[in-house]
Order: sequence, then C-alpha cells, then structure tokens
Amino acid sequence: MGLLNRVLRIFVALTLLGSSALADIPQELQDVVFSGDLNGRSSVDFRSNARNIKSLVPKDSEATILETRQLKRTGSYGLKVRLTKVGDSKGTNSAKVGDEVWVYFSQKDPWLAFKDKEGSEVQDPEEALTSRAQRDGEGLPVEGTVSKPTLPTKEIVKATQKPLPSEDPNLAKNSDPKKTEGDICVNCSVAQTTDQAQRNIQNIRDVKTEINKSSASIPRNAAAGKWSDDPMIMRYSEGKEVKNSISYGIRNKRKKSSGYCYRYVKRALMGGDMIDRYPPGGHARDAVRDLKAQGMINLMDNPKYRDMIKSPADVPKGAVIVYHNGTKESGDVQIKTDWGSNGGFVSDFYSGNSFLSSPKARRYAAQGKPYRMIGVMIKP
Amino acid sequence: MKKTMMTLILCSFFATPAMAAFYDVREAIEKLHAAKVDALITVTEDTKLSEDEMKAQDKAFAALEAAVTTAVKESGTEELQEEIIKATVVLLKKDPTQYAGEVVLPLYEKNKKSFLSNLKKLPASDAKLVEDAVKSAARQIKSGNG
Repeated sequence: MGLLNRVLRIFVALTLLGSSALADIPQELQDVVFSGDLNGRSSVDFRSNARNIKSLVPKDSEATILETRQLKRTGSYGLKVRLTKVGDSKGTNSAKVGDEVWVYFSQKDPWLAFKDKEGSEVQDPEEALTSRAQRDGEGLPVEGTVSKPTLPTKEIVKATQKPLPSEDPNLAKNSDPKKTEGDICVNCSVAQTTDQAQRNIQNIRDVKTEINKSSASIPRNAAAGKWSDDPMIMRYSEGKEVKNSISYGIRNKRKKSSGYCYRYVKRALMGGDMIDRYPPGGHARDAVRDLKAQGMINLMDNPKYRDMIKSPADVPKGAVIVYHNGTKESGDVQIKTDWGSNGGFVSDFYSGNSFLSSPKARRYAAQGKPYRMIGVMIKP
Repeated sequence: MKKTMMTLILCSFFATPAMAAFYDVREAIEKLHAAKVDALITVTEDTKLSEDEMKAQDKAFAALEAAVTTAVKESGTEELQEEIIKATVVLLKKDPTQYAGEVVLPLYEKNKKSFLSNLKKLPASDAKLVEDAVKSAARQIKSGNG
C-alpha cells in the first residue's frame, strides 16, 4: 500500500512538473506571411545606408523561418527566411520562390504574421522570436555598428576639453600693462642667505609655516560671508575639485545656450574630478538623483541650510544648483562660480545672472509655475 | 427691404469670425511692434539687468508668445509669421539663453515646412540662428538637456 501510494505521488508530481514546463515553452515559429512589401537583404544589417538589399519581398508572400537575430541596438529582430510563395508584384526586383533573405521585424510596426508548425497563428510572436533568437545566438552585433552606446569616461571628458588660451601665465598675472615681466614677482623665491645659522633659522620658520598651514582645519576666505564658519562648506568650496570644475566649465562654455546645460555641467564635474562616472540622467531635474548616487549631498534636504539659502546668491561657491518647476519641463542646472553675488553661473554658457533671473524663469513665474532651487549639491 | 435686411444679417453672421481673426492678427502685429524688440539691451556674460530692462524683456517675450498663439490658431497669417520670425531673430541675438526658440516652437511644430521656407527669406546666418534655436527647443522637450 505504502509503495503504491509513493509511486502514485511520484507520478502526479512528474505530470504536474511536465505540464507546467510545457506551458512555458513558447510556440515554435515555422512560417511567416508578409502583410506588406519588405526589403530582402543579404545580411543582418538594416541600417538605411547598408547596401545589401537583394530584392523586394511583396505583400502576401510566404516563407519559412531559417534563423532569427535580436538586434541589440533597436531590440527589434532580423529574420532569415526561405520564400515558399511570392505575392503579386509589378517590380522587376521582386524576390523569387526559394530565395533566402533577411527581413526586418519590429513589434511596433510588424508587417509580418507568424505561424507555428501546426499552421496556427503564433499568439505572441515576440516571445517566440526572443526564444528562437536566444537559441540562434541573440544579439550578434551588426558589423559596423556599436551594440550599446557607452557614456564618456573621465579620461575622454578631460581629453576633449578646449585648449587653454595661449597667454603667457606670467604676464597674465600682471594687471598693470606698464610693468614688464621683470617688474612683477611671479613664483619668486627669497634669495638664500649666505650665513649657515641664518639659513637654519629660516628653514625652521618655513617648516613651522607649513605645519600651521596643514593643521588649519577650515580654509579661510573673507568673501564666504555666512559660510565662513562652516568647515564642510569651506572645505568643499575652497577645494581643488571645485576650482578645477569651475575652471573646466568656464574653459568649455559656449557664447550662448545650446540647450545642453546638464551635459556641460556633467562634463565640468568630471573634468574637475568631482565625480568619477558620467551621470546617466537626460534631464537637468535628474541631477539631484544622479549626483547623490556619486556621493554628493543636497543642502536643501537639511533645514539648517535651507534656511540659509533663499536665493542663488546665497549658494556657496562651486555648488551645483538644480532648478525645476514641478512640471514635465527638463529644468536647469548651473555651477556657482564664486561666493555671494561676486561670481556668476556656468553650465553650457556663462551668465552673471542665475537661471531664476532668466526670461524663461520669469515667464513661468508670471504664469504661476515658478522655478525653484530643488537641489544645491556639494560633496562633503 | 426685408430680403436685404436678411441678407445683411446673414452676411454679417458669416463675416464676424473672419473679421475677428483679422483683428486678432492685426492686434498681435501691433503688440509685437509696441514691444520694441530692437530697443532691448543685448545681454552679455556680465550684464546685470535692471528692473526696467527686465520688464522690457518680459513685454517682448509676452508679445511674441501671444503672436505665436494667434498664428497657430488662425489661418492666413503670413504677415504675422514674418513679423514673428523677425522678432525672434532679434531676441535670439540679444538673449544668450535662446528662450525665443522655445517660444516660437508651437509655430514650427504646426507646419515645419512652411516655417523653414519662411526662414529662407532671411540672411543665411539669421535663418540658421532661428533653425538651431527651434530645433534645440524641440530636442530638449523630446530628449532633455543632458
């Protein structure tokens, strides 16, 4: 009894397992019927400039599927078919029965109907195609195409920045055009004293100065105003990453907006070593999320800082300001280039005024959809 | 007499919308002229606009937006479209944010061919300025600014 019961149980379990496995198998593709005229190509390359069109496969043609490939670039499919019936066509370039060609299949705009081995219509052609494409070798890259677009790396960003202006750096520091290079002291060093004892004292003083410099925890800048007592803000704003990011932004800016504010800010932040990876977001409003993912923080999340920042003029130097108005708009993003109202704002172009003073922001404010600073991003 | 009255009433009934459209177009053109876009300050990197300068700018953009709305709504607005494009060129040259491109976008989207053929009447550099700004605005809506 016990043995019979056990055998029965195993049989039921195997039956259930078999039926559920069978239910997941997609229908096997066999034939395809053309509901429109399609190009028959000699290779799996469907770009408009690919010179591989062999023939025109007219509407009402029928074919057997030989091979399928899912195209990584578009997600659509390439199907290699052998024609079994050719529809009516007046063209001279029409395909013939027996021809083997590649045709394009897009789920959005199919122009093809599929049948399985029993001749019944395939209910979900994309599932069946995916299954077969995986079996046949999914996503073989089309020759001459990039299968997946890649985001620029930090090295690429740095390598593609505009060259520095060819100005003599020594003369650039001279604000008085009457003085010659010899009159101004650039990187000048104090003449060495000849006496050994004096030199030793001087060396000790130099070391003391250096120690004092390195132990000073908060960088000082009189222009920082209310931020000057905040070590986190001061370290960020007076740090070399901010300096380099602003410098990259100003060096690569355009004369007027190109509509790529976030792209230019991303590059400036990467070029200044503020972030390591190219942020993926396509809209400026995504900057808060993208930059948080790379270790930056939003000062507007902290009530203490939110109270201190009422306008873009209050924003610390080097912070990335993200603007949005709660609509479907992309928003805007800028890097503040200096403290208080001293500096301007750089993104794809430089302006002495923040985005909130732009005609667009004023127009939206007048229409009751005002832009606000949704992010003031810094790296602690 | 009755017939004449009826005819007049019918004529006025059918002519009213056409007359209203005509007056809307005239009003839009006059508003654009009144905005004096040529007299606006050219904004550079270091320009800090005064209150009055901002108001003048806002007035110009509002007039341009109203004109575009009229041109999109009404038909037979060739003169208005030309005025819009002229004002757009000036605003694009004077405003580095290129906001004018976004303002005239509905007109471009209504009939791209007609809009681009109107640009051919402009000097090549001006035509390119408008085309770039409008296409950039369209691209920003579709794919963003990143």
